[in-house]
Amino acid sequence: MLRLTLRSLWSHKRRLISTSLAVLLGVAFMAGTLVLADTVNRVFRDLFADAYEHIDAQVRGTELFASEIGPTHRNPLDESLLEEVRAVEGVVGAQPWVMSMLATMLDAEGRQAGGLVGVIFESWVDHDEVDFGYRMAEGHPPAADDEVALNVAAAADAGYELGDEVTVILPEGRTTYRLVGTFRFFDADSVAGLVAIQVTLNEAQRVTDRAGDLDGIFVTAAEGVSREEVVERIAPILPDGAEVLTGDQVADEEADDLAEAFGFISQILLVFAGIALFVGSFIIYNTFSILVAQRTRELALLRAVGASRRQLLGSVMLEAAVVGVVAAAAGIGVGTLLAAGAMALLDTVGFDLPSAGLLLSGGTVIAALIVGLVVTLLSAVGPAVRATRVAPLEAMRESAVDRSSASRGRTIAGGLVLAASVAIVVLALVTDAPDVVPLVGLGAALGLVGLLVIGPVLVRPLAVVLGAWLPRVRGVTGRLARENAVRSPKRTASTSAALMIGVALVAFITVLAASTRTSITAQVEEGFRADFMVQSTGFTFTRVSPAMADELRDVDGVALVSAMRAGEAQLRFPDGDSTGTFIAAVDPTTFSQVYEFRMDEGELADLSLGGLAVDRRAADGRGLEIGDIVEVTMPDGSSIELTVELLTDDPSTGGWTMTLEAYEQVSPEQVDNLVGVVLASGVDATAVRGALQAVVDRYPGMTLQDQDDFVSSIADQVTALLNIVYGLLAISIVIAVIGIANTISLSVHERTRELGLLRAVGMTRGQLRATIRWEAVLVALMGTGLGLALGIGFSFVMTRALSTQGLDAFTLPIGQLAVLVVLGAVVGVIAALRPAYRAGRLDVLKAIATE
Amino acid sequence: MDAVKVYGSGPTEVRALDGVTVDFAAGRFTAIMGPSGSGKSTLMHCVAGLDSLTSGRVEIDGVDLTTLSDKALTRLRRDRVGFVFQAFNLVPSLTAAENIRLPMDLGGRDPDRAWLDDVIDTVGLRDRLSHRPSELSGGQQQRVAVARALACQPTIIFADEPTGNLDSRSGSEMLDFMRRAVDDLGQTIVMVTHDPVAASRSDRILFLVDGRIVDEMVEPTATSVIDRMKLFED
Repeated sequence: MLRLTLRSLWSHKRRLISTSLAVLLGVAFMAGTLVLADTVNRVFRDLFADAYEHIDAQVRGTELFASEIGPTHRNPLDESLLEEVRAVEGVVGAQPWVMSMLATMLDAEGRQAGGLVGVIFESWVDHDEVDFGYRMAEGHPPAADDEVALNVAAAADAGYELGDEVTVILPEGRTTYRLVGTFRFFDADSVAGLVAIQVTLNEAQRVTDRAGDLDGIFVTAAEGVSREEVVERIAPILPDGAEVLTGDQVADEEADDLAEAFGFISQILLVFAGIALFVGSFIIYNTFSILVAQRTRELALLRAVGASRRQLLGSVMLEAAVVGVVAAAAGIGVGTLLAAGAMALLDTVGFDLPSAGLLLSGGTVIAALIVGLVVTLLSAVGPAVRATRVAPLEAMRESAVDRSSASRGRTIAGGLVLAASVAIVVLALVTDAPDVVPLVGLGAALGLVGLLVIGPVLVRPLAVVLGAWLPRVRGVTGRLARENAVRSPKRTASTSAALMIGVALVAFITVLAASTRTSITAQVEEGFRADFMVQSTGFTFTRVSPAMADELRDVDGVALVSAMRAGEAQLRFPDGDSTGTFIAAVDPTTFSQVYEFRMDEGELADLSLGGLAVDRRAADGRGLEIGDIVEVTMPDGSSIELTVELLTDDPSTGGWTMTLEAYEQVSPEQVDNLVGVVLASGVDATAVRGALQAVVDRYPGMTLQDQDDFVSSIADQVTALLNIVYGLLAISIVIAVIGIANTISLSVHERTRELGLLRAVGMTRGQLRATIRWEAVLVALMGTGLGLALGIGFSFVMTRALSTQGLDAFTLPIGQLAVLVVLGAVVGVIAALRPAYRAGRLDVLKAIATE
Repeated sequence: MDAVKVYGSGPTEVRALDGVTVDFAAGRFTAIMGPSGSGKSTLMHCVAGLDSLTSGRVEIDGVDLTTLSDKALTRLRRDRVGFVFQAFNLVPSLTAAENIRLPMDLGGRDPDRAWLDDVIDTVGLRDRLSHRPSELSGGQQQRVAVARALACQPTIIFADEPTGNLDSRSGSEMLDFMRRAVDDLGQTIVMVTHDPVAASRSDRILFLVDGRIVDEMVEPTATSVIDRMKLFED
């Protein structure tokens, strides 16, 4: 039996290639993600291990609160601690350290320098005392307060040479230094595109406005004193709010943080890999169904000569297992190549990783093989069981093709599941439960299952509707195409289902994105009062010194400048819960002239010094009411108690807003997030724009926008996100195309004799190809149509479910959806290319003679 | 016309047709007989434009088939040649009427309605037109095939063992229809068969052995055909 199975596998290997391709692509996506994650992980682990190789211990402030975008906020250390640490027995070197992640460096052309990872602004660590790992390449470390050193790649990319003037912008001000040295991180010119700016400790403290404070103290232990020992000795002398760790601990911690951040990305990628595999499972199911149907006589003969059901089941499952393992193994190879491609891509966008040899871990190999195998086996179980039901007598009959269509049970079961889906969605929409999104998700999943079950029932009516034009436009070829598409409704249904899933997801996010855009645009148009706004460019979190607002205020023709300042803070609520988040601060008397928040309760102008405006949604989520007290802790540990005075109803507030005056008193970090400019009446906006632009140009990373620019920049951001998701879904669509191509070629193979007849009675090659092409187009359109219905339906439900979250518009982007339909048809044409070509080359005589 | 068809080459070469020259008269019913492997099907396929000759010429309506491209050959089959095969003559997804009109639909030609009605009545299928092949008996299916062959008023109709899969009554009905198509409608039919009874309904029989025409018989009867065949079996 084993030999028979393998021989059979070999005999229709070509038909299994495309099946394998479906598994291969899904596994490749998954394995590629895992390899990339492992590789990046290892690179960072190595990097941090290197960086802390010679640092035996680090003293730092205890955690205040975690940040959403950067390093954890910690209590500052008092500078006096340095001498105390140095005096500890067993400490031979101790170095102070101050750093900021808010710096911007200009390149030689005056543009913002630096890549994805950003810029670190640090005090230089004396390497005689503690080896921090920076090796001078040229010149010397910063010794005077007006001197700066840069890593080699940062200096080269920005076009700087020793002796050049380097401008660094911090929220606290703009300073020009002289470049006196360049250095490497051990032997690397660059790490992930990081720009490392080194100044003296004194200068770092001055420019970040933190005289007397430190972010850390690095320690070298005496020979013979272990890292653990030195930590044990330092710990007792530390005041409250300070802690000490070994270099290894810090290295692990930082690597873990990065791994977590990257883990989030790889989880998203894995979700899309899962979708691809799910879509692929339909292809596998289909191929095995068709192969089993085509081999009915052979299977029956085996039964007749004494093979048991179990043996037949085993035979088909073994075939599936071989396909699964071979495809998964190939998938691992392709995935590794994909990961290499991704690394190269990261490198070209400035995220260069040193010694990035790919890491293909045993875990990845095992996971990929198991997933490939399990997906293939699960998909083949149904067809395999059907193979065992073949009666020995069928060996005597004409070769059978699975033409079974919709059973009543199927209609009822599918109908019930669809009804359940609708019921759940309706329930989700009428209930006022706070978070109905999971419920909507369940409804969507059931909707998908229902459509999959009832699919074969829908094939004929769908073909009649979607293919109505075919006979009219294409004549008898069109009519044949339509009839062929509905010949095996189950087959057609599961083929188009693969495409349906991809299209449903694409339609869903397309409509959701369009609706989001409409909602935000409407809100902006409603609230936008200023003549101009200045905000950070694109997705960067650049914030800007308040000095820019002051400069804008001085421009002729400007009547008013009002800014929204924003920074990280920890909020502690009456129930004792706390969270780290962004808090905004505005001048309540002027900000409404720039941007008018939609209010739920109260007026912004009434916000007092000790007051907090909370967005309705945030208040609901935290159970806050007017009069409740929220304790706000700033990144330097200073805190203030604010009373909830107003409720806003505007997502653009970010949730929490206090007065600028109170924020200036309490926060160490004064940076503007959004600056609005109102011109004096009668001033021509176009005339002033140039002067305003000149100011903004001095603050790299910021963009001057009028209302139209502002709206379109939001649209651009939504589009950018949308394109990423499209890219991730593309692989699922490709798999669906392979699936359609596969089914069509198997069907064409089945119909060889009929094709021969058609050719004999006068069908031209072109007509034959057209018949196959239009059949594929129709199958693709069915998948597209159902996918559109599902996607649009659930994006509608989702906008309803999220309407309280500010997504209050439902927009159907007709143009984009029409493109999707056209693409669906194109998918069919592409899928038909090979089967049509092969059918066209059919030898008429042989085809007629085929049994 | 000195038609030669060679399969393979060298020692394995098979001369399926070895210098056949034959002319099928218009408005007549010709049968081709011969033992298995005699080349009778090959002859028909070559004459009908389904297969190509190794050397020699085939002419239909004065057009030399051997010079035609695949496209032109297809068009010729569609417009000037009718086919009836032994089995699997019909496209299963089309109705009887659609199958009959198929060559004309493929050519984008409008059928001659009066002629079509004649044909349908001749084969007696009027009440079966909207049925699909799976709903028709074997005999009915073959009659639909004949109707399709007749419908486009071809120059010539080729029938390859048209009664081979039928019981004797349906087979005999089938031959009646073909006879009537020749006598009443003036069609030209060439039929390949090894059934002496079927062959005896033709106007003329060609006997083919080893790719050569070895004999012919005009106005045959079943008995005379059987007698003649005995000669070749020795």
